[in-house]
Amino acid sequence: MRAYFAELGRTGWQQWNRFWFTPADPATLGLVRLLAGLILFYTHFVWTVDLLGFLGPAGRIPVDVAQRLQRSELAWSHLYWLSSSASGLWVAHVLALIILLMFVLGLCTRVTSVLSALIAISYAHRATGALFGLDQVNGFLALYLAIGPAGAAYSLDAWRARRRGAVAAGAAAPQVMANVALRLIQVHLCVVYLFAGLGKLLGQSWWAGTALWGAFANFEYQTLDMTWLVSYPLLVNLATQTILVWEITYIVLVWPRLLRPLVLALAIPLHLGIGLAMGMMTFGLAMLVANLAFVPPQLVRAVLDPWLGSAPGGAGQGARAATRAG
Amino acid sequence: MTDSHHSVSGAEAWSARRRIVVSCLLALHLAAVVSAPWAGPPPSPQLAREVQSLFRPYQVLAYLNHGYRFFAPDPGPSHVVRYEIELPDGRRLQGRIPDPATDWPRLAYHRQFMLAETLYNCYTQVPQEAAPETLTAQQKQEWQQQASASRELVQRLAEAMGRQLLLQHGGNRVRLYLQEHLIPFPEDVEAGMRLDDPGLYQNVAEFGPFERGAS
Repeated sequence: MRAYFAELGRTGWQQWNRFWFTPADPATLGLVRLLAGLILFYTHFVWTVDLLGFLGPAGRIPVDVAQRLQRSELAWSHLYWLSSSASGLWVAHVLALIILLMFVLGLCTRVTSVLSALIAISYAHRATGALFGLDQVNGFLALYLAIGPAGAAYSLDAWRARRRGAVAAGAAAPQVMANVALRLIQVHLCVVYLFAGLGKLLGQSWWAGTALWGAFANFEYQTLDMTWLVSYPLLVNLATQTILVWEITYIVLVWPRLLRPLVLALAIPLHLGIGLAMGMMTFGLAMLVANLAFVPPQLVRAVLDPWLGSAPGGAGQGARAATRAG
Repeated sequence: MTDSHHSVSGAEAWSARRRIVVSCLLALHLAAVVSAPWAGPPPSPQLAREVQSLFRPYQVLAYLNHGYRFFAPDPGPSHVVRYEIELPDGRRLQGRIPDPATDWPRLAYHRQFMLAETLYNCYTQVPQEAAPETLTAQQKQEWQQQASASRELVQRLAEAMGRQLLLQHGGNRVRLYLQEHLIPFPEDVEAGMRLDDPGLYQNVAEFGPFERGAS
């Protein structure tokens, strides 16, 4: 018995170490930064359409309402201090957009990644009441990109370092923190899908295989008329229960190398379907970007480096430099 | 667990002490990540709620306090706010939140949609009946305080939404009508019912009138 637990502890620690602390090529993290950064920028840019209408002195979400909805004084936001000043709010908003754009481009990434995470969380706290799943995914992606070397590949930081001649061309140096950040995205995503699936088990329509009808026949969500599905109830059953099984089993089936491509491939129709038919394309894309954390860096390089290898920040030439810069 | 993410050639290696410290931080963080959806929304075990209470400050600070119950337990009806504005020239302007015709881009529409949903959720927190007789005097007092706070919150949110409409449209007075939009049965749609059939909208509550300049 004692030998068993000793072996269990030793093997468990070895596996834990291997899982979290094996240095990883930062190419995947760089790609996730680029795409998640674009979504973050767009998400915040859209507030510009009606910034004061939502968050301004006479906006739809007064500061006291946001704070009471949060039910915690720890739900901080720099926008609380600025909500009484329209000009102050605009200045802060434009600054936030500039920082987010720098983050997308991978410019001063060590600083802008942290600031981008703070911006995402701060806006989410301030805009409580107008949020949905997109903001949650943005929040955790920004958080993990802030702790990893998100600018080590496909970034202006890498390009600038190469231009300075600080490094030689070649593959990016694997980094432990690149692995930690990717692992956190992966594990967090598994938690999201697990609870999304388990929560559905409480609902009759998921068991009955009709839930998808409830989603597609909701006029407020609808952007694509899917009511033709009414003629294909078995298809609704199949799609509903495929989603349910996929969400619940994602946490297990995404890890084996052979099954991973299949599991990730199923994410594409699911999230693009939600995006196209239910008007939540930004959310669908954010979830797909999170899924990219499972894509091996070799594949990312094989696809992107021929395009970006000689472009600013192309991983093939500059990522080692960005390892120092970002 | 198997994957092909990693390469160790020429890579940095961490000391055992560093790995132990980071492992502890990771374990705490992951406990926070998992305990949020484990503890809520209800139903959830008391154990989950007790564990979550330990991590709640961190979850709030880092915006990790989510249940991730997308379209669960069932995709339900949505909620909209119809409004009627009295303009200075006496005309009446009617509209809805969210409005697919005017709220653009789609993400801005979705923000308005979520606000209508929040108004509904706040409204459902307001008790519609008197405190149960079985409560003690102190419990009744707490119940009434909570009911009063919930009522105040929903009124405050409705008023803010109403005043923003007055600013937008230059109106004098506005009334808001919170409605539930039921999902039609497949057989009704097959028989020709539209998803926005007026019969699918049910009034839930009315707010206002709110007037320009008054508070």
